[in-house]
Amino acid sequence: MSEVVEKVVVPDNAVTANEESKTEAGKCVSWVQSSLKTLIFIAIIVASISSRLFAVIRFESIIHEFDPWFNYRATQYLVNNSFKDFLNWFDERTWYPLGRVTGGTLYPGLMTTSAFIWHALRKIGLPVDIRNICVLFAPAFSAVTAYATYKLTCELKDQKAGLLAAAFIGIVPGYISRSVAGSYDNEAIAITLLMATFMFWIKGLKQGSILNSSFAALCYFYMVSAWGGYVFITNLIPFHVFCLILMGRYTAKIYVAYNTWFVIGTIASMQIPFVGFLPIKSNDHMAALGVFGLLQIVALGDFIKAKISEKKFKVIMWVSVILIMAIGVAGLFALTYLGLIAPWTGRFYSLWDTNYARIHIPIIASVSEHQPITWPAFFLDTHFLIWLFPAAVFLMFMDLKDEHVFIIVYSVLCSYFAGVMVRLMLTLTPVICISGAVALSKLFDIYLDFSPIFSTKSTGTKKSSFMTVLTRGLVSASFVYYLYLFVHHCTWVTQSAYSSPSVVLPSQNRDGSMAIIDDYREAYYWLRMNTDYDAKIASWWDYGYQIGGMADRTTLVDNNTWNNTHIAIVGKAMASPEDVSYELLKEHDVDYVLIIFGGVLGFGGDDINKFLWMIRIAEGIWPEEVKERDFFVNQGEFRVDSQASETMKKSLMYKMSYNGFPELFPDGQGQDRVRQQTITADDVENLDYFDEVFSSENWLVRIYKLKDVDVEGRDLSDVAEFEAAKNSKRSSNKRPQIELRV
Amino acid sequence: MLLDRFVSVCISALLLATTALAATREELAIKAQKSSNGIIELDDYSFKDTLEGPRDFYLIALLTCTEPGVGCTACFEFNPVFETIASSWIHDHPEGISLEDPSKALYFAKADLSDASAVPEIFKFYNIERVPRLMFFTPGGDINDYHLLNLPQQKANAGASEFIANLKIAVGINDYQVYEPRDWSTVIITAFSTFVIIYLLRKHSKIVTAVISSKYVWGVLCCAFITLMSGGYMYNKMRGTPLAGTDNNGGVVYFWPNEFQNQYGIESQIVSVLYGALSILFLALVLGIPNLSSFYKGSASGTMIVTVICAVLVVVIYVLFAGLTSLFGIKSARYPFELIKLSSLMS
Repeated sequence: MSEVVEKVVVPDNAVTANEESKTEAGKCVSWVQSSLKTLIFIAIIVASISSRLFAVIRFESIIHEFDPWFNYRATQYLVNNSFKDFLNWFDERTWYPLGRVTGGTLYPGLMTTSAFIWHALRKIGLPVDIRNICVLFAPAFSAVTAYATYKLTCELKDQKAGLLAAAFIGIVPGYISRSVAGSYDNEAIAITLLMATFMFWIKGLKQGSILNSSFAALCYFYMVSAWGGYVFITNLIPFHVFCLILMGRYTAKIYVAYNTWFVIGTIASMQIPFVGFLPIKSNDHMAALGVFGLLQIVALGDFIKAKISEKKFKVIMWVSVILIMAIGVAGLFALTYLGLIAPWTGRFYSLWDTNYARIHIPIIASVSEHQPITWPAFFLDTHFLIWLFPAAVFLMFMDLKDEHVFIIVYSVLCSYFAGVMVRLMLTLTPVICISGAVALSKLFDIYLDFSPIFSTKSTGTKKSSFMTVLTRGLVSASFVYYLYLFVHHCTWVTQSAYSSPSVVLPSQNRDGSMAIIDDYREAYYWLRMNTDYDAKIASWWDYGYQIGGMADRTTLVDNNTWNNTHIAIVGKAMASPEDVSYELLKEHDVDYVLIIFGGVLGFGGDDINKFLWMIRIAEGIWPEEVKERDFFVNQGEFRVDSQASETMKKSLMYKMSYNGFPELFPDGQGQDRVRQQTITADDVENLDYFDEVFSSENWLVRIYKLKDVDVEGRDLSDVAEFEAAKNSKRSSNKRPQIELRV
Repeated sequence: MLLDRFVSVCISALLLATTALAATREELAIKAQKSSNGIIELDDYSFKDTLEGPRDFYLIALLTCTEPGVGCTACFEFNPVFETIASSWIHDHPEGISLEDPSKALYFAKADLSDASAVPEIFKFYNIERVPRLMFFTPGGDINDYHLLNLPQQKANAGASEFIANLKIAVGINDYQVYEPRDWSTVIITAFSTFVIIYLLRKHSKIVTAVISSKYVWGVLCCAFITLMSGGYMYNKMRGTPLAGTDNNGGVVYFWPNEFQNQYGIESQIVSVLYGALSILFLALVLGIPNLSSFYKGSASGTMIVTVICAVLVVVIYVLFAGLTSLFGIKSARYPFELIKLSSLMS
């Protein structure tokens, strides 16, 4: 930890060294400077990588969460097959019975990069397991991000600010949250590319350089291949150019930089199969196209202005502006009306009209990443940088060069987006770090300069120079202390909030020692070992990727939520009475149903808590058969105990969750630890169509098998009734008593 | 002749008797049209007549309380919604009868406890203890034959549409549309402000351009916006969070303790103000102090003043940041860092 602190503070010592070098011009000083810089960079890289390794050290080298499991599976496929096979990959083991054109519907950047690293390492004689490459991918790229951020900030102010920014981005929790070891997701590489693209863009813009703009376009292409969030760049850069034009800052440099970036970037991005013709069709990309056109007009206007008198130019300008606007608006409407260009995507709408998603697309609204963000989350992710941020933006206004306009535009837009959608906090964090670093380094420029005490020529008396140094010392000390606190904050947040693989849950035993709840992997491994290779598993979509990755079984729906109806089928099956569900699941060849139940453990993210979304999504397709209102009791409450609504108790999800649950408790009064309600044996009806085949150690994962169709052609509920009548006493639950963990 | 009169008296008596028994569609339609928004007033004398069975129409009665002293927020919120619902129906169906299916008729009625000293009879009749109550009377039933409806979950016009959508299914009619009452005040305000803006633009175009192209104005606006956003404003707007909460003893709670995913409206206000204050103080350090020291350059007392101001700024920043950190400590109990130990200050 102390190493990290040192690293944050050291750049400021370099500052003083930097000033002196001008006067003395000694080679020695500049040598010390560059070696210090290298040292600082090594420290930053070590800090940013090591703080991301908590998860590996605490648990093990494992892929985290949900989406990374798919990326991992795809990477494995790519490593075992050729690149061509990968692009043409049709996966029949997901979205049964539809299958998924995986090769054409993924962003291949991440997988190709890790496959490239894997091959490269093998070439130099280091055969590393592909899993370890995937796990350590994000930490490694965070170091690259730090460098790109350094370069970008250098363009804004100087190297001092650059080093600070690199240190900030290295350890800031807002970025660590998506880039810890094991979080093998698109964002891991995307933020690196985001910073690199912006860095090259600013360079290209400042110098009007075709080379740098081409690099920006290439980075943009790489970004498009890696993350759907590339649309952010597609809109931000045109918006920046637009603002510059409005401010009357048009120059040939802007013309060169933007045209180079736009033309190369757009054509390159269309080579990605999943993107295809979107850049010229979808309205998300229209801003870039529009600014491209505008720039040509402005350039033409600039040219005409130089040739003719001002009076004539004004007339020409007004006529052409009105003409262009009319044609443009009419054209846009006409093309949208004719269906030649796609309307804005749902995710895009939900950013502007904040109620849109909730009303029209429950599948988007249901994702926790798409929720608005509360203030503590901002503070948690950026600590004191969050209040430095507005001040820093104001300081940008004081300088207000072209590159500062970029940071301002980025800050304003992104702070809105992050406020609407938690997930976009990730794109806001870099700009907070950059502007925070710029502001802080401005402060240190003024106050970390203790030269008055050494200079004898100073105009004031000895006393006044002492006072000056004292103030400077005070201010610097307080901010260095904030930096120190920042490091501690980041480390604490990283290790306590962002280092859980969420496949393995950390918990505490009664004596306070750490216990690991490994129910997921237990269950997935059970599936892998005990079921047929072609068995179809129905579960809520959240677990689709994990089942595919860990259990290697066919799933109905997964986290690639491309088919709302198919998801609604599972939702309906969960929300309907047993006989309806059985029919529906049999139609889809399902063999097993997997649910997550947190009532025993007190795990809040279980299926009963997600149940409302299943109902809503199903109701969107079958409003007649599934009604959200029926699941509430009269007071509009969502209950699971004896007061639960009849529909609720009859639903498959309820029965499966609480099957045998009350019997687990000595007095038959089941205490649901998540919802704090009591469930008795009378509340839970018997399952007639399903057999419980597996419940994990803490009952977190429960797997049910669909009973075979009765050989005598009877309805399964009749069979159960008949059997019950035959051996009238109920078979007691033979489950062994298990110790419940706190 | 006598017989004639007798018969007519008999008939009118009979008519009276039947009207006393149950209200007819025509009567209700007249009453509904009398009021501006199509809601029948349930006063002490007539409510039994209106609600008595057997009826051949649907009737929705709202029992509410707009007496400010009672402080029923739900009543205030639902009142305009109910008016929209009722006036939308009467707008298309002045007689209250569905055009598609003349066998279906629907009326709206309301009783309001607007004066705490005079509780309307109907409240006593139904033993109402909680308001607002929405009672749904179906055809064929009598005065005690009703069931309660839930209030729509959404507010304003969205609530009206939600309610009407449910009502359409419950009654079995299709020709029911929402007519949002046109809010003339916003139209007037927009027209007026447009006028003022254009006037200012023409009259003082120089000042206006100076303001619009001033980087300070834009800077302050942008910073204010960012501060608002980072205070979690969008969360309040999208979730419609309450301004503040209450604890078990009825005291006001400003910060929702240990709730990371939830916040009260006032939290973002407090936090935004803190962010803003910290930013301004920081700017004072970076921009203000150098200017001040160059202003006082050379004078000994000036250095003193600068030193003192600097020290004050640093201390205030520290205290505010300490406050922010402790606020965060409320939201996340496990947070281990604090800048000032409050307990040590007390002792």
